Amino acid sequence: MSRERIVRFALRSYPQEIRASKGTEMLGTLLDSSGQSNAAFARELVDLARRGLSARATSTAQVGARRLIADGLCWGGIALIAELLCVRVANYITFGQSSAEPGGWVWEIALLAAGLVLALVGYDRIAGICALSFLAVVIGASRQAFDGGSLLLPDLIVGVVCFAPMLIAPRRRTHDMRQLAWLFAIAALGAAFYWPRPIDGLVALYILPLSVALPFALALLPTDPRLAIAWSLVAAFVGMGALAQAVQQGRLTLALPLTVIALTAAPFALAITVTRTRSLTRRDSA
Amino acid sequence: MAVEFRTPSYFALAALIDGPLHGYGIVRRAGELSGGTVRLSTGTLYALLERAIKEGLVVAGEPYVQGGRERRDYTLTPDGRGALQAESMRLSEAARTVSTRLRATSRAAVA
Repeated sequence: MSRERIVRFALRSYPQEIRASKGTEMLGTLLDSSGQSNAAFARELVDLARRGLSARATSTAQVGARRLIADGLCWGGIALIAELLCVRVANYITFGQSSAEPGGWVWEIALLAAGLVLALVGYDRIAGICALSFLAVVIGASRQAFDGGSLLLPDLIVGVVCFAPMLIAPRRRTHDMRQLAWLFAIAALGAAFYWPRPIDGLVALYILPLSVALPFALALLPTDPRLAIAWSLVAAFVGMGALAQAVQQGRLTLALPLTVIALTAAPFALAITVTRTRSLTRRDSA
Repeated sequence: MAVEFRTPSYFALAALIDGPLHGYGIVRRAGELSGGTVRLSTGTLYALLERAIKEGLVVAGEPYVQGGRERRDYTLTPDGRGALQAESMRLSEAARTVSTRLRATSRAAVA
C-alpha cells in the first residue's frame, strides 16, 4: 500500500467536513513533512489519527448530550425491533401457525417489519409508532410469551424507552434507501435463530452480535457514544429475558451477576456521554 | 489581547510574521525559528491553524496546486500580530524577572 493510500485511510478518522475541506492539503503536507523517513511517517500518521479522533469527538459533542442520547436510544430501538422481529418470525414458523390465534402473530410481525423498514430508511417517527403499536398489541392480547419468555414489566419499560424517542426525538438524517441492505444481515441472524433449533440460535441472535458490537462500541465510546447507548439498551433487554428464564428454571445465582452487568451498562454509557460531551464542549469553547 | 500560546502555536504563528506560508512552509519555518526544538506534526499544525482561524488570528487563502500538492497559504491578521506581540512581551517580561532573581540570589550566595 502506498503512503498516500495509508494517509488517506488515516484521514478517515477526521469528520467528513474537515476531510472535504482540508484532506488533500493535509495529505500533501504530511508527505512533505515525513520525507523519506519511515519513523517520521509513522509518527506523523499516529498523530494525524489521534488528532482526527479528537476532532471527531469534538464535532460529535457539538450536537449536545441530549441529541446524542436520543440518537443512541433510536439506534437501540432499531436493534430491538430487529431482534423482536427475528424471534417473532422464528416463533411463528415453529409454533404460531398451530396456535389459537395465528392472526395475532401476523399483526405483530407486520408492525415490526414495517417499523424496521421505515426506521432503516429514516422515517423514525412512523417506525416508532409501529413499534409502540406492537407493544400495545402484545399487551392487548395479554399473551404470556413475550420474546420467548414471560412478559416482564422491565422488558416493556426498555421497549418504551427505546421506541418513544423514535417518535418524540427522531434522528436528524436524510432518507436513504441504501440502508435497507442491513435487512440482509438481520435476515441472516433470523435464519440463524431458527435453524437448526431455536435454542442454538440464541447464540447467533444474542451473544454473537452483542459480543461483536461490544468491542466496537467501547472503542467508539470516547468519540461517538451512540452505539454504546444502543448496545447497552439491547444488553438490558437481553439481561431481563435471561433473568426471567433463570427465575423460571431456578438458576438465579448464575444469571444474576450477568443481569446486573447488563443492566449497569446503560447508566454507564449515559454517564460517559454526558460527562464527555460536557468536557469536550467546555474545552472547545475555552 | 491576553492570549497565552503553547510553544508549538507560538512558533507556528511566528512563522507567518514574514509573510503568508502554506502548511509545509509553516512546519519548516517554525523549526528554523525554534532552533529545531519545535517539530510540528501535520495533525497538530492543522488543529492549531483551525483554532487560530476561528479566533481571527490567521486567515486561510484559496487552495492552489504546487508541485503536484494541494496548498493553501495562511496569513497572520493584525489581531494575530497583536496577540503574538503581547505574548512575546509577556515571555520576555517573565524571562527578565526570573533572570533578575537568579542574578540577585547568586550574588547573595557568593557573598
